[in-house]
Amino acid sequence: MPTSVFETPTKRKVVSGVLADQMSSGDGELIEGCELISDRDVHKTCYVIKQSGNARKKAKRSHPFIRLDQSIPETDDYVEDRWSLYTKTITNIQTKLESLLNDADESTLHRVWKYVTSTQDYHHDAYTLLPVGLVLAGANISSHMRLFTNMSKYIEQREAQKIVTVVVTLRDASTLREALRKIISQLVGQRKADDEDEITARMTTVPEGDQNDRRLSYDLDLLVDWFVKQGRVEKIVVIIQDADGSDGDLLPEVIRMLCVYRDRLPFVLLLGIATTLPIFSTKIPKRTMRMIDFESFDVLRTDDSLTRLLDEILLSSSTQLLLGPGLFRSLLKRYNNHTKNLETFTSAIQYAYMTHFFANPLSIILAPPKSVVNSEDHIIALRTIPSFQSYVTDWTSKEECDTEHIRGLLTDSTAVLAFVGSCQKEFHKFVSRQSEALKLLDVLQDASSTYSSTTVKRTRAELYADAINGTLRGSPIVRELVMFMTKMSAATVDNLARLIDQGFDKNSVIRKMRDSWNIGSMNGKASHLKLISNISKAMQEFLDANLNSYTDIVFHELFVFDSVSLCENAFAPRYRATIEKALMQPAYYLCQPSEAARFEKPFLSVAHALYRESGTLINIYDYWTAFHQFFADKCDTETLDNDSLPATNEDEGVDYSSRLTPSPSSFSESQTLALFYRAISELKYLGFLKEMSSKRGGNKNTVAVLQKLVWDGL
Amino acid sequence: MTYLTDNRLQELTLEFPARYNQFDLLNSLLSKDKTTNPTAIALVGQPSSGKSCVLRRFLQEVQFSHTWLSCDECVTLRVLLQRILAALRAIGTQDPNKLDYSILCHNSTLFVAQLNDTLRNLALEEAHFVVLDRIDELGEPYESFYQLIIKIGNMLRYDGITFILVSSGSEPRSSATTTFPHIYFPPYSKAESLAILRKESPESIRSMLGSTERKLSDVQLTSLWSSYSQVIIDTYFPLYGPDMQQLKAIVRRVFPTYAKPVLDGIVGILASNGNYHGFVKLYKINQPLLTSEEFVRNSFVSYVQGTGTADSTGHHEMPMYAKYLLCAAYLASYSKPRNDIRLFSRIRESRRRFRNTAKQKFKDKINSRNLAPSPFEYERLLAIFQCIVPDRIDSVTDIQTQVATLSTLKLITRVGIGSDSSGGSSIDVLGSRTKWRVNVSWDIILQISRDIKLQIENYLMD
Repeated sequence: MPTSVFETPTKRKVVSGVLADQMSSGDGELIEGCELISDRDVHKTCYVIKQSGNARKKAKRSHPFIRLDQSIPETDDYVEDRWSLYTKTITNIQTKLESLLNDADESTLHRVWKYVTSTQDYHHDAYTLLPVGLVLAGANISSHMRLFTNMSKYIEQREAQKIVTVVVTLRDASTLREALRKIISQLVGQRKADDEDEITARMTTVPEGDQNDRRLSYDLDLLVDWFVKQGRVEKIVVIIQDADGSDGDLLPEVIRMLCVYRDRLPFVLLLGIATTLPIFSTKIPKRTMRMIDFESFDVLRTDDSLTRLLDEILLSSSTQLLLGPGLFRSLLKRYNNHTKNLETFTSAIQYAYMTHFFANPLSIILAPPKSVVNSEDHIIALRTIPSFQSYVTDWTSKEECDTEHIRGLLTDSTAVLAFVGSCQKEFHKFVSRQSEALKLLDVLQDASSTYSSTTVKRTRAELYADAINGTLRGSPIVRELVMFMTKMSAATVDNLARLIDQGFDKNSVIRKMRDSWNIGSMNGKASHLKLISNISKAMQEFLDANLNSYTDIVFHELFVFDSVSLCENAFAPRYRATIEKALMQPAYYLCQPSEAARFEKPFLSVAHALYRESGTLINIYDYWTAFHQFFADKCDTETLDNDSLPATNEDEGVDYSSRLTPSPSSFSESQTLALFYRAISELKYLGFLKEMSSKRGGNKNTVAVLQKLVWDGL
Repeated sequence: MTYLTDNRLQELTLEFPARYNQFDLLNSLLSKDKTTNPTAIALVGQPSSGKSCVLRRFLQEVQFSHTWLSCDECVTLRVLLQRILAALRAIGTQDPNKLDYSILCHNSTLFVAQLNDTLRNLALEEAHFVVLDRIDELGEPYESFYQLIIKIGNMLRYDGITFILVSSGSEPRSSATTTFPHIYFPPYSKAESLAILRKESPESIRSMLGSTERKLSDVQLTSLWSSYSQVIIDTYFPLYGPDMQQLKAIVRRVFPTYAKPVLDGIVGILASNGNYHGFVKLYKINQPLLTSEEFVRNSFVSYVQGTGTADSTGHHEMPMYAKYLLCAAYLASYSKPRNDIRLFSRIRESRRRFRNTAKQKFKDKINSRNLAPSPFEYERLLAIFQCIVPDRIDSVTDIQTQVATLSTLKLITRVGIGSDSSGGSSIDVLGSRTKWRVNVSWDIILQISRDIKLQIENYLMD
């Protein structure tokens, strides 16, 4: 059912091979063969489609990493090391990510729970409205399932037995009957009746032992009976995940039904809204709106979470590997422009880590095993790293050259490893200094925003890429903040000091700097001016010292991963450009056996080339003539060649490319026509063309033409 | 023979203002004698004009045996038929509340047969009434069932049962000419509405203010309530008309806030009617309350902003390109393809003057915003999208993902499913033949385009 893949909004890719298994361990799922993508799977972010039938032989290895023999002849032990290093790093990160995502939801869940428990008793009076919680869950639908399942669990755990919850999606319920049947069957705990047939539906929903009860499965009286029997249940929470994705009148109808029964069943309705309130309210008629009493909840998982992610994962003290500025920028851009989805962001980070450990044999250097010392290949590889080479060049070009040190690095393997270790320490220092500097910029911006409200605050996530790139040093924003400090009033200084106290640890450099200010003792204008000039000078120096570029670190290639194109291609492939390129320059993708064949195109490409040259409407006869002419021309030029060469087309072992581009000389006109038909139908299948008949140009008779459907350059 | 005396009817009219005629009609139409009753009567009138409560009160008064069924609880006709039969079969059993749902009725023919069976078993001595309340709110089209009930007298072999149809919608056209008794409930006038509102008992008024309220005496409360009802009727009657349900709901919502100055002791209320000063002062304090839309609740937004509970915009932004796509979809729906070059292209041809034919001129006179959005092709959406985004972007899968998201959220909808006759897969969502249509109004598009700083008016002809 390939169409369902496209119908759903979530991102899905087919990641091939074993790596995909790792990817999918997060929120993806493995799908065997052509198994249907059922409704349950609709919101997964990632699908791995494995060929069913002749499954590949499982490798004997316990892990999916492979030997990277091309660059460094590795032994299996090293591969093992990389794998264990990767798993160690990734589990560390994953637990942090999990807690980050959960914490983001936590406050909302708490508020929703409070709302549910605070709703009025249902048999208050006839005018009690149906309590409805509007949960604004954001536009990333793929996270909704998780959120609402958590919500349901959260509420049930805290109010054991008193509140029952039921999560439904209206997407697959086209009628009121189906929606109610879903709610009832989930609560009463019977199997869901799949088909429309009432008899079977009834048979499966009626409580056992009560054969005389022939009520229909969507009769809410069933629920009333169930509720009376339960005794302890005080509230029934119905969570509708996709409130704004439902068809037409369905949601108002469901609300009406729940409202009608509100004197017997203590319903609380929670609606998951992916759009905004103004858009959602256009879908609810006023009549329905008067039946309900509502409160809205925002699921806050936006820039705050990004900042936290930056602090805890990218710039924490345990950071082994830093995301490069280019990569981070592209991830952030994708987040803002396309997804607004924190889950996608985090999985991209995981992917980056995975790629680093999978594809870089030197990644074991991050925690070098002892045997590396003996591995000459690794040492040689280390010496080929550009940053190391330029380091050596710099040293040797200096006048006072410590030749011993350089010679040691170039000859002694232990010296190289020791040097790598010291560089790693330097890297850790770099990370912590960057983190401090970014925090300081944050604090300074907060302080200055009270001073002038016109500037828009730039978050740490936005500044990160520039910061580690070194471009932030002396940039306008830093200059502006330093300028602000030179003009601070006494109150602003107090405010700044307070913000620093809040934001930094006692042991940090900034905190010590702030402690040396002794604000209280300063009285009078002169002393104040002196103080702020001291502060601004100190801050300027601090920022200048700490906002240096990661490229200053030797061996930074080992500690910073910055492969933009790899990640972009993995997460957002350019399918359209790829198809067009394949049609325009098939030689790119076909391994041509000989030089001469390079200039030959598959007939589909020929048809496509003609297609590109024509206008919006293509007369079929013209098209055919041009197509035929193309091959006829070729025949003329090639007859000479073919006389001398025996035709190779009838050979058994012709490869695929020669089947795509059969030598045209062997074709009669009717065969060319067949090829033409095939090319046209393939173009039609690809969605390029549409058949139609036209009466244009003053013709009385209709002319068979093809209409171009695909626009150029989109 | 009638069951209630005229005096009793007058007393009931005190309870239900302006409903004397209806009580009188019910009284004269219905009787315990099963031979004289019609098989069906209808109570019609606007919503909340007292049909159900008058009928309920009457049946309670005369102690007729009856069954009350709310049709709005029934999702389909089958549920209703089953409930009618179950309720009838329960008559005369030991436990009338324990209903027997062993019969499932699929259509009206079966229903008549089953009803005959049931009536034969029951052998009614006295007349029994089946009230089908809110028949117009049955989950399914109810016209044919309405017809059946009207004519059911001819199909029943046992008498003794009378259906009372209570409907606030218009009657099905086919039954408009059939003769069976109707009782019409005219809408309440302003004065009558006021009288109904004022009939609240001191206890219930007190409960609206919170059960712990003990400051005001009953007389004071009644006096406050009566002036308050007048204010509410003057304010909201033009808005809601005689819809008593709405008026009563709004009275309940506003009252705690309205009465707060009195409870806080800012305004003193005396029991005597002469104390206009207090009421005027109270009214002046509460004037902003009555002019705001806070209690009307026509939309989620105004209410949320009114109470200031949450900031409705801001956090839940769509991704930026999703906003652009939505604007592009709006433009694609509301601008004509023949204007595309003029609107979206920078080439010279776009400056050419277009001559409008008379027919097109006539069409152009209608503001396209008042028309339904016209369908557009996916390619055109992409092209317009490329024109309005500030920087050129490649068509990566993320764009398609967002189109799919917009479609899931029903912000753009697919049109013409299955219209593909030439053999292609009709459910191919991304097929170039599939047409789309925007499903968002101009106000929202304007708001979104402001967010992304897009001058969307520049791309529209009107």
